[in-house]
Amino acid sequence: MNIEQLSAWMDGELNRDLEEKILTNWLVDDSSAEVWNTYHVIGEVLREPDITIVDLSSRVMKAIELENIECSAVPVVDKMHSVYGSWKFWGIAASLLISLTGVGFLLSPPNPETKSLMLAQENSTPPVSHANIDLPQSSAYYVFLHHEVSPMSGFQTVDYPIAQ
Amino acid sequence: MQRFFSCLFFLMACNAIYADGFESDPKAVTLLEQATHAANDLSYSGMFVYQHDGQMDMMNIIHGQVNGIPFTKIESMDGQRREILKKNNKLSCVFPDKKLVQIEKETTRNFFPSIRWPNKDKYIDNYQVMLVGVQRVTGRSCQIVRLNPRDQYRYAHEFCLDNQTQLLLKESTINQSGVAIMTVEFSALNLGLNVSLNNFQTSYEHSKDWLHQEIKSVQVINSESNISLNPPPGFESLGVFKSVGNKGQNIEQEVFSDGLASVSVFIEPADSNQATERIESLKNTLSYYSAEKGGMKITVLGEVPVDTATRIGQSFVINRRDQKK
Amino acid sequence: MSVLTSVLGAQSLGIPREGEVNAAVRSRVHNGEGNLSDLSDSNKELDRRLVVQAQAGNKKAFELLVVKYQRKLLRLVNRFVHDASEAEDVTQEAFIKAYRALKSFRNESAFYTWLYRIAVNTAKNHLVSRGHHFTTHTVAASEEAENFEDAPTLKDMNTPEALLMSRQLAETVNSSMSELPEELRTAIHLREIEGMSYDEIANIMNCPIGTVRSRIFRAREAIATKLRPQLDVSSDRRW
Repeated sequence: MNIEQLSAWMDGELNRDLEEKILTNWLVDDSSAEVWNTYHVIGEVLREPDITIVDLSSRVMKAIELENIECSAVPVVDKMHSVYGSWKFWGIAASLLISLTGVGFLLSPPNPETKSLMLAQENSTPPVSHANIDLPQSSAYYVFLHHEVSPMSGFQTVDYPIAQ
Repeated sequence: MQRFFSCLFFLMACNAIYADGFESDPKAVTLLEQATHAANDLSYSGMFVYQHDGQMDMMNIIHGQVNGIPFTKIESMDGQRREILKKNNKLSCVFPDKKLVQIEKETTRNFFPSIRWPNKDKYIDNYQVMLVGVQRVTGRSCQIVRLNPRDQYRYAHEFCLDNQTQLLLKESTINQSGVAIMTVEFSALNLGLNVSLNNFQTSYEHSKDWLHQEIKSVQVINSESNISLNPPPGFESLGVFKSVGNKGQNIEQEVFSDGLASVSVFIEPADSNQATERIESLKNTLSYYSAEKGGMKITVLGEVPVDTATRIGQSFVINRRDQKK
Repeated sequence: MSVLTSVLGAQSLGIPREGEVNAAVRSRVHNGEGNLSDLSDSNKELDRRLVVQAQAGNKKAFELLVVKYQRKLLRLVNRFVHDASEAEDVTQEAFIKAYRALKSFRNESAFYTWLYRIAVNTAKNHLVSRGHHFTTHTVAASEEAENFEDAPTLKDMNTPEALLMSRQLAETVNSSMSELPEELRTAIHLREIEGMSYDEIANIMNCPIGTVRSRIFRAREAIATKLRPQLDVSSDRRW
C-alpha cells in the first residue's frame, strides 16, 4: 500500500476513489495497521505529551469476534415490505383499525398537551399556564413550581419533571 | 519585638474567632461576591458533571456576552435529550424527543456555575463563611469557600472558586454527616473564548416547527390564606405565589429563604379530611413533607434537611377567619 | 519547543515569517470544541465514511476507528475510573457497546461525540455498580486526583513504568521534530497541532497542496522511524 496515500487519507485529504482502494486493500493486507497506529500516536503525543500509549484494538476486535456481533444496518423499509406482502397482515390491520377507531372516539381523554393549554385558557385570571401537568398531581409538580420561583443560589438541575 | 508579638497575638485571636464559628472571613465573602459576577461576565465553555443520588449527569455549556447581553447554552449529555438556551432572563428549553420547546420570558432559574444570592446579608447571618483550603479542579487551582450552617436546619456548602478568575468550578452540598449529597463540577473548561450568536443557536433546526409552550412567571399576590407557619430561625418569606393544580384548584406557594437555601410551602384544599403525613427525601437534595389537616393540604419542599421541612410542615396552624395571617 | 520561532530563520526557503504564521494561526480561534485537529470537518467526514463501511459489515473499518480513538477514550474514562486496568476494561467495553449499537447510529452527529457519550455512560455504570459508597468515593477520588500535583494529566492511573515509557515516547517525538528540516516541521505542526487543512497550510506556506501532502508524510515517516522501536511490541502488551 502507498503509505503516503494513507497519510493523506488519515487527514481526510485523499480522493474518494482511492479511499475505496485503501479499505479493500486493508482487508487482505494488515501491514498498514501499524502505520495508521504510529501516525496517530505521533499526532496525539504532539498534542498531549502525557497521553498514555496503549493498544486495546486487538482486544476489542477479538471480543467482537467472540461475541459474533454482526453489524449490518438493516433498512427498516425492506422489513416492512416483507410484512406488507402478507394478506393476513392487511386483514388483521383493517379490523384492528376499525375497532380501535370506534372505541377511541368514545373513550379517548384529551391529550395532556391539549388539556393543559385548555386549562390555561379557562383560567383567564390566574397568572400561570403550566403545560403538561402530570395527572395525578405528583411531587414532580411541586418541584417544578419550587424551581420556578425559588431563587436558589446554588446549582439548579436542568430537569423539567413536567416534560418527562 | 513587642509590637511584633502584639500583631501576632492579634492575628491568632482573629483566627480563633473565625475558628470558633462566630465571624465570617471577609475575604471569603468577597470571593463569593466576585464569583457571582465571574459567571456572568466571563466567556467560557466546557463540560460539567452533576453527581447526586448515586448518578451522574453530564452537561455541555457555553456562556458569553454578545453585544453586552449574556447568553448561555447548556446541552444534556445523558438521559432525556434537552437543551437550554438563555438570553438574559429569557429561557428556552428544547426537548427534541418530545418535539417540544418550553419558554420562560422572565426566568429566575439559575444554572451552574452561576451563583445568585437572594439576600446576601441574610446568608451571612445563617452561615459562617470560611476559606478552608485549596484544591485543583480541571487542572486549575481553586480556593475552597465553605459555608458552615450555624444550626441544624440547613446544609453546609462548599464552593471551589478559580484563583485566577473566581469562577465557580465546583460546588458541593454536604449533609450533617459530612457526606456530599450533591456535587457539580467542571470536568473540562475553556476560558476566554470569542463567542458569537452562532454559538447560542439551537442544535435542532426543526425546533421552530415544534410545539412551543410559554411558562409564564407566577405573579405575587396578597395572601388570602388563613394559615400560620413557624419556620426555623433565619428563614424569611420571599413572597406568596399562586398556581393552579391538576384539578383546577388554587395553590398558594410561600417561599422562605435563609439567603442560600430555599423552601416552598404549598397550601391547597385537601382531597379528604384524613390526617395523613408523608415525609421523604427526594432527589437533587430536596426534602419533602406533606400532610392534610382541617381540610387543607400542606406540602413543604426545599434544599434543607428533612427535619427542617418536617418542622415547617408541622408548624402550620389554620387561623380563625377573623385572624389574618 | 517553539516551531514558529524557528521559522524566522527559514525565509530563504519561501516559508512565511513568524508574524505571518502567527496571524494565520490566531485567526483559527479555539472555540472550546476540543482539539481542532480532531473535530475538523475533514476528520468528521472521514469518520463518517468509516462508520458507513463498518455498518456495511467491514470490521476493519471499525478497527481503524478503535485504533484512532482508543487513547483519547481511555483518557476520558480515566477521569472517572482511576484504576488503570479497570479503565482499560471500561474503555474496551465502551468500544464493544459502540459496535453493537453501530447500526442505529445515524451519522447525524460526529462519531466521536457519540462514542464519547457511550464511554461516559459505561464509566458511570461501572462506578454505580461498585456499590453504596459511590457518592463519597467519587468525590474523594476526584479530590485525590486533583491534588496529584506532579502529573496533573496522568494522575494515578499509570504505573511508574508506564509513566516513564510515555515520557520517553514524548521525548522521542519532540527530539525527532527538532531534527526535522524547517519545512517539514512547520507542515506537521500546522496539521497536527493547529488542525489546519492541507489547503490552509498550502496558503500559509505558499506551496502547492501536493507539496504539503508530501511534507507531512515525510515528517511523519521520519518521526515514525525513531518511534517504531519503542512501539514495536505485541499488540496485547500495555505500555
